[in-house]
Amino acid sequence: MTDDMHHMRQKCLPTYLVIDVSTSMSQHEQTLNRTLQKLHSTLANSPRVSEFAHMSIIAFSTQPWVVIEMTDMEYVPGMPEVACDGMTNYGAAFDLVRERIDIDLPALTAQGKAVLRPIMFFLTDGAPTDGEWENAFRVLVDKGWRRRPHVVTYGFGAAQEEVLGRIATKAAFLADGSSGQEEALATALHSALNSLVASAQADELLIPAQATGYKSVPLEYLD
Amino acid sequence: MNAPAAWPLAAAIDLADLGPLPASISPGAGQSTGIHPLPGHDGWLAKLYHKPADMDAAGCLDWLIGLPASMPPADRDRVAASTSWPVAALLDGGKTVGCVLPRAPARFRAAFPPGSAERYLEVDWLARPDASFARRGLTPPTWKERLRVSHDLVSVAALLGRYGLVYSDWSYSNAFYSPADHSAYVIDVDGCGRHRMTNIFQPNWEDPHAPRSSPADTTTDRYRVALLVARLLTGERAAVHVLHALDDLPDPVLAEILRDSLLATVPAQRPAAATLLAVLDSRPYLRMPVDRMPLPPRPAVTAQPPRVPSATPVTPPAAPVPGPAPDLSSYSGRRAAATVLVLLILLVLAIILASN
Repeated sequence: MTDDMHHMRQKCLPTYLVIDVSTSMSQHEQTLNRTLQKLHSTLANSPRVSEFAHMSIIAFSTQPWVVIEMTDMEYVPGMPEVACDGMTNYGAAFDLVRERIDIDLPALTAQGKAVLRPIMFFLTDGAPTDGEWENAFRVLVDKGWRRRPHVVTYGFGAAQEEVLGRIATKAAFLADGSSGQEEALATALHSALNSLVASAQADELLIPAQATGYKSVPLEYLD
Repeated sequence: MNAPAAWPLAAAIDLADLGPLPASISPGAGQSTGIHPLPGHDGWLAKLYHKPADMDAAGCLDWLIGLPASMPPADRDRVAASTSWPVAALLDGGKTVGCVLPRAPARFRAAFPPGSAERYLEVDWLARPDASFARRGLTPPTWKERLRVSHDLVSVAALLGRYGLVYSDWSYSNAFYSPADHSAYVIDVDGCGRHRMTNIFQPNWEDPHAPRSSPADTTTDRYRVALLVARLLTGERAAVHVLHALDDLPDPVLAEILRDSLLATVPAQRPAAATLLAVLDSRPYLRMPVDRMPLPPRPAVTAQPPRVPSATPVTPPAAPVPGPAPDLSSYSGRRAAATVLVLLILLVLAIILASN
C-alpha cells in the first residue's frame, strides 16, 4: 500500500472493558446493567466514536467470559445483562484478554483498518482472590509483545489501591468515597467513555488526569 | 430557540459586562472551554477559548465578524441560515477570550433514536448506510434528503472559499442536520483562518497531502468537504468503501467530481467547492484534468456484526471450568482437537485390549 493510500485505512482503537462481576458486585448488579445499557446507547448513537473505538466487553468472577465480542457498537442491538456471582480471579481475566487480543487485532487488520495499541479499562470492587494473577498480568503487558494493551484501572468498594496501581499502565483511579458505590461505578464507566470520545477527537489516546469522585493512584511497575 | 435577527450589542464587548455566565451547554472541546447561554440575550451563546487568541487569530475573528456586512444579500442569507457565524468578540483585559455566536435553530434538535434525549443532531447520525437506520426501526433517509443536506454543506464551503476562508475542521461533528427539512448548519465558524490555518486533525479525516505539521489551506478543505459529502451520500464511512460506493450513486457526474477531490495526486487539482456546488445544482461547470491515484482495492474481509448477545441474563459458569471460556470461537478448535486426542487414546487402548 502506498503512502497516499495508507491514510484511507480507517483508524481503530480496540477497547476492552473488563468488569468485575464477582459476588461482592451483586448489590450493584442493577446499576451495572443500567450503566452498560447507557454506555451502549451512547456509543451506538455516536458512530464517529464507535467506529474509532471498537469495543469488547469481558466480565469476570471465578471465570472470565466474553459478553460482547470486539465490534463497532453500532452493530450491537442491545446489551445482555450480566449477573454477579463468584470469586475475583484477575489472572484468568488477563489470560482471556490476551487471547482475545490475538484474535481481534488480526481480524481488524484484515478488514483494512489501521489498528492502534489496544486499551483495557479494568473495573473492580475487590481484591484478587487468585494468587497467580501477577504472572498473567506480566504476560499481558509484556513489552516484548507487540500487541500489549494500555491499562486503565478503576477501583471502588474494597479495591486495593496498591493492586490498582500495579495493574495500570496509563492511569489508576480509586473511588474516594465522596459518592456512593453505585455512583462510583457509573462514574467509572462514564470516565472510560469520555476517554474514548476525547481520543476519537484528538487522534491519540487521551486519558483524563482526574475522574470526578476518584483519586488518582500512583502507578507501580512490576519490573 | 432561534437567534434574533441581529446582535444588539457592539462587535467587541468586555466579558465582565455580560455578568456571570450560566453553566456550559456543551463540554469543552477543541479550542473552547465551554459554550454558555447569555443571560438577557436569548438565542445567543458565549464561546470561551482555552487561552486568549493571539494577535493574528484575534484580527481574523474581528474580520470575520465584520465580513457579512459587506456580503451580497444571498451570501448573508446563507450565513444566517446555515452557519453559527460569530457576531462579537469577547474581551478580557483587552485580549480576545471568546466570541458570541447565534444558537443553532431548534429544528436541528431531535430525539433520535426515538425515546432518547433531545439533542442537536450531528451529521454523524446521517452518514450511515440505510441498513443502519433499518436496524433501529427507522426510515432511512432518501437520496434526495441526503442530497439536500450535502447541498447546504457545500453551499457553506463554497461561500467560505469565495472569501478565502479555511475551515479545516470539516467532520462529522461540526455540522448539524435537521430531520424535519434536511437542512444543515455549520458550527465553529469562528475558528476559520484566512487562506491558511492550523491543520485540525481528527481520526479518519486526514488529508493525504497535508501532513499534521503543515497548515491547512483551501485544498485541504476541498478534500475534507468532498469526503464528508461522499460519506453522507453513500452512507459508508471508511474511505476505501466510500470510494467504491460512489459507483452506486444515481448521479455519476457527481461521483466523478467527488473522486477527483479524493484521489487527486496534486492538491491544487482538487475541484473547488464552487464546482461541486454547480454539479449539485445541475449548473454548467468546468472540469479540469485531475491526476488521480489508483482506486485502492476493497479489503478482502469486511466487518461482520458480532454474534447477537443473549437477551436473557448471561450468568457466569456455576463452577470453575478448567481451560478457556466456553463461548469463544477459537476454543472450538481446541475442543475438537482434545476430542480427537481422547478418541485416539481410546482407540489405542481398545487395540491393546483386543491384542491381549
